[in-house]
This record gives sequence, C-alpha cells and structure tokens, in this order.
Amino acid sequence: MEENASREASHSLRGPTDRGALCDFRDVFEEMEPLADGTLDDIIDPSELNIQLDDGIGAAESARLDIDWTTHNDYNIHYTDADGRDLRWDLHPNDFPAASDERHFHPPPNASSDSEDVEESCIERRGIELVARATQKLWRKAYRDESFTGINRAVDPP
Amino acid sequence: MPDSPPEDDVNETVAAEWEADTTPFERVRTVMKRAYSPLSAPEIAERAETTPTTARKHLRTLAENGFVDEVPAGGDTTRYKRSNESLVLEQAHDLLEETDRDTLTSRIAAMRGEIRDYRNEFDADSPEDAAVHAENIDPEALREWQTTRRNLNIAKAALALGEAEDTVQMTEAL
Repeated sequence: MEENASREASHSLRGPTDRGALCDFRDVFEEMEPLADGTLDDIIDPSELNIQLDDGIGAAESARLDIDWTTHNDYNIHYTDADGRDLRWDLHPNDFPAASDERHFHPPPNASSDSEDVEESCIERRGIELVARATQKLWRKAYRDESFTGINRAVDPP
Repeated sequence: MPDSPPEDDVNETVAAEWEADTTPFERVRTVMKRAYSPLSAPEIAERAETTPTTARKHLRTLAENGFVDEVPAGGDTTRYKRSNESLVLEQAHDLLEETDRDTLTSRIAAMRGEIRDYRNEFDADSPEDAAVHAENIDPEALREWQTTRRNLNIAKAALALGEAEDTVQMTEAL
C-alpha cells in the first residue's frame, strides 16, 4: 500500500493550476483551430480548460480536449471523443520506462497508464505557446487522416 | 524525392510558424508572461527563438515597464522572471472583464469557506504544512487547495482594483 501511495505521489502534477496559462492555451488554440471553442471549467477558480471540438477523429462526431497546466509548467492534455477514445500528452514526474524525461504519452484508445504502453511524447518544445501549437497540429493531422496512427509522431514516415 | 525538409517535424514547424507570426519582442514577452522562476538571457533567447543579445535588449524594456523583474544571480549576471505585481494585475483585470463584482464577492466568501474546510480536513494551516506533517495524503487534494488559495487572492485583488478604479480619479465634490 505504502509503495502505491508514493508511486501516485511521484506522478502528480507539481504546483497549483495556473488560470493564466489556461487562458493563454485557449487563445493560442482557438486562433489556430476553426473547430475549437474553449472555456474554463470555472471562470474564477478553474481546475481545467475544456476545448470543445465540433468534430472528432474518424467516426467520432465530436471531441474535447481537457487541459490542466500548473505554475511549474507541468501539464495534462487529454483528448476524449464521443466514441469513448482517450489519449493524453503529459509533462510531470513519472517512472515510465519509455519516458526519457517528464514528458510522455498515454496512447489511445484508453490513454493507457500501463508501463509497457506509455510512450515517449513527440511534443519536444516547452512553453504554452509552442505546446498549444503542436497539439493543434497533431490533432489536425489525425483529424485529416481519420486515424490515431500518427498522432504521437513528430514526423510522418514516408 | 529529395530528403524531407526539417519543417516536416511538428516541433520544427510550430517554432518556425511562431517565428513567422511574431516579432522577437512579442516572443520574449510571451515567454516571460509565464516565467515564474528566474531564467537567464540565453535560456529566454532559446525559448523565444532569438539571440541572447536581442533577448537582453527586450528584457531591459520589459523590466522598465514593470512586466519582468531583474534578479541578481551572482557576479554580473542577471536573471529574469515575471513581476508578481504585473501578474496579479493582469489576472485581476481579466477577472473584472470576465465576471462582475457581485459574483466576485460571493465567490470570495465561498472560496474562504473552502480554505477553512481544507484546514479542518487536513488539520494544517497551509497545503505545504499538510504535506510535511500528514502521511498518505492525496497530492491532488493539496494541489486543489493551492489552486483555490491562489485564485482567492487574485479574486480579492480584482475586487479591490475595481473599487479603487471607481474612486481614484473623479470623486464628486461635496
């Protein structure tokens, strides 16, 4: 039990949710993405940003990105859609074997947290501006391809 | 087929597009907007896709405007962070635009209640205190406590700012 508790602790985001960072992410993403409409889950004391997408990847008719971003620049970027598919790009302390640092990717269809499933994240850049832009590009690519296959690939294979 | 240009990499693409969409000053400002711990000019330059010389020039301007604080870092080196005062004012202004004073007043009371509940639940004055003294504590609960404490203080600043703005210039003569 004790081991479990410390494992969970080591996977938590560091620091309080940063309302300003959520607003910045929303502004960047909405500027780039015509299908997106972002709102804070609470305008005064938010715990996450919800970005509604008017369409989903492949068969899904709609989708949502839920973003938490802290004052220490840790984050969760969670895609979920109307067909119940989930995936998540994260940055926080972890002990996943595939993650060479705090960044990692929980793959679809269920955003698995099994050690053997978790991948290295393809989002290398730091900072709200570039991470929001990268998220939009990766979502757009998967939306266009109607497939999750390349959603965590920085470069398309030939 | 020629070799794929590096622009095909999503990380390269977003950096190149950001650079094309903005001036170096705008990028330095964007980086500093959420730089809550001190960074060196070369670190800021790398994040802002510019050179340390250009970053330093814009950092001086941002420091003069009160947007960033210069933090002495030993020797003649300076590090830079977002000014707390500037950050509080930014968020307070945003709250005044996004909501109204009655809502702020009632939410401040509610958030004070939440903070009291956290103190009672964890038998501690602060989340930092609780983390040190309590065992097997849910880190997410402590994070929620830290978040509500932060947003309570910003909401209080917003309300005070609104009231000050009402009276600071043209109070009617009696």
